[in-house]
Amino acid sequence: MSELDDILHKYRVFRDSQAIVRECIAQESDLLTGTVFFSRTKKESTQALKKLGETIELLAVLDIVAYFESKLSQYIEDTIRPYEKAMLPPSGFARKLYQYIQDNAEKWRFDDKLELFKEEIDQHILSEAKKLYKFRNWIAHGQRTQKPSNYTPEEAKEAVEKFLQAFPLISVSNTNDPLV
Amino acid sequence: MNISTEKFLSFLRREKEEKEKWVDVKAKWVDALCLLYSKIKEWLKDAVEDGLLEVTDKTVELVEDELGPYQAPGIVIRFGEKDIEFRPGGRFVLGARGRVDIRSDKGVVSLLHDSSKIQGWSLFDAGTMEQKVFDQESCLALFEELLS
Repeated sequence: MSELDDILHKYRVFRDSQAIVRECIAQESDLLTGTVFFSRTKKESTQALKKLGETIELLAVLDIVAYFESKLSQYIEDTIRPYEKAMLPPSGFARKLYQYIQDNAEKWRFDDKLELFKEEIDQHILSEAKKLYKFRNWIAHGQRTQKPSNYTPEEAKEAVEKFLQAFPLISVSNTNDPLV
Repeated sequence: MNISTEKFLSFLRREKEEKEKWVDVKAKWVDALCLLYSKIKEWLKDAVEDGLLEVTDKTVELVEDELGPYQAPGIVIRFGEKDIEFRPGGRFVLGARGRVDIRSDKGVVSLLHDSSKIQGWSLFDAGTMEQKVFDQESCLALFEELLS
């Protein structure tokens, strides 16, 4: 199971649990005694459950995009690393220059990082990744602005997978030297 | 009488019985609410006579799947600028036969009717999940806390 599958699996575990609780509510099961649903009407309980489901769905998307960000950033870092040794003269200057690039690479906007792949990635896949990131920002920044295109966890996973599959070197980013 | 007429009549009878059952449940629920408020009014009688508190009846519109839309009684207790509102939450709640929310500027606490733990009315703390019998003593202690 890939890390993305793992994230989606956790989300599905929640969704199935949600369905079971919904059924318990419908049947007024004694299992709900001592839980937050106790003393609530069925309507209140199902609404609370629905609201939680929406939150968990957004968190799953955040989780998927966080994985994507980490993969891409790691790949960029790994790509930069060999240049430290290759720089001439191999001096404190080269080390400092490399360090400067590496430190600042972390601060690059993710959109800009995505742009680096523009020539290698299908434009539709790139555009989907950007739209997904826009949705991620909307979630992370408090959902205060107009909602951009929505992504379910499944759709988010698909967008990330397509990007990673289109650029297979990323999936081997655990090697120290991606240029090899 | 042919079979389909017999079947149809049986359906109508079942439906009628079912409707009457819910009418009865609703009536009992509204009675329980009225009884609760009359008890509270009795407990607060001296404070009202002394002009310290004011108790007003109100009506709340409720909609429940089983009972449909209906009007249920509530009360508001006023002490100066402070209000304590007793507002029925519904007859069909999980683990009890009705809930009344007590709303004030201190938040919301609930009263449960015939819960799986306590018969009659009980005070329910959703934070600690604790229940205790709602009687004169616990009622006045609660008001003291909410009006302080």
